[in-house]
Amino acid sequence: MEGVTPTRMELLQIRKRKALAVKGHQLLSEKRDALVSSFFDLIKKRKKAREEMEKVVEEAYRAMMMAEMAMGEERVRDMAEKIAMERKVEVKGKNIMGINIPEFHLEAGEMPEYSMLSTTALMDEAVSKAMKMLDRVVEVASIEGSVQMLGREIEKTKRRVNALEYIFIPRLLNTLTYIERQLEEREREDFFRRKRIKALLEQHED
Amino acid sequence: MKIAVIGDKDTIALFRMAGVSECYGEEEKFDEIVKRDDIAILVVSGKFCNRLRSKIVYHRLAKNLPIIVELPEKKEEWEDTIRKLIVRAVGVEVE
Repeated sequence: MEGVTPTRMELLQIRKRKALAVKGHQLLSEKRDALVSSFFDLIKKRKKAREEMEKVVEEAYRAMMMAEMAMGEERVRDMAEKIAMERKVEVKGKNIMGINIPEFHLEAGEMPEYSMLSTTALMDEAVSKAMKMLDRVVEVASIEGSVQMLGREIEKTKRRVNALEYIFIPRLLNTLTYIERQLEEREREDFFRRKRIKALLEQHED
Repeated sequence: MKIAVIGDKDTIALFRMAGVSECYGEEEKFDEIVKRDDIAILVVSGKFCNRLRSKIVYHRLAKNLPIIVELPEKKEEWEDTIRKLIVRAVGVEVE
């Protein structure tokens, strides 16, 4: 045991540290459990949102194909290229148990304007389907972002809990027993020394 | 903030209609987009999901924004990077 001076002061100090570590371990493992339970809810939500998104993406693809069949692929691609509308997302941070989680809000966006003469209703249909699709994509992004942040936090918390449980606290316990034994040994030595001196003194007097 | 897309021509056309102007067709753009701070969401679609997999996994563990949404074409050939993250966090496969 290097770096440890077996004194009573040290003993008291390490006892205090051990109490703190145990308390911290308890708090952290509670945090971990809470995180994991909300993590599971989130995973369920994510699955649903993803299924929804896949369906909508499929629909949007089909609508675009229909428009292409009616107007020709090149024309549709051309129109798509020329659409100048840009929908922005607003990012807000949400705080769940001390973790910053991004939350996205998509601007509504208006139907883009293009020439009525050169397009058919199918093109309008395709655009409106595509716009709806983007809403779902942003929703999935919000949820998956939360999953990502929460997952990372869980990993970190787990590592801390384990470090306390398997390394830090056992080490403190070891040091504690070491100091206690050293102190006891010193007491025994002292006791013996006193006895010995007393005996010597008595011999002297005789 | 904006949305960006890396995908094939069809996907790009579709997202353009939806109001996304940052559309790219090369996987090399990934690093560049990830570094930008005006992009909130990056959609990676189709074959690019598999090609960029290791980069996506790393990004998910190390950085916050942009959030990457994968849009695989064939689900069977796609290895879900979010699922990987879930396994890392809780140690078990969650359905």
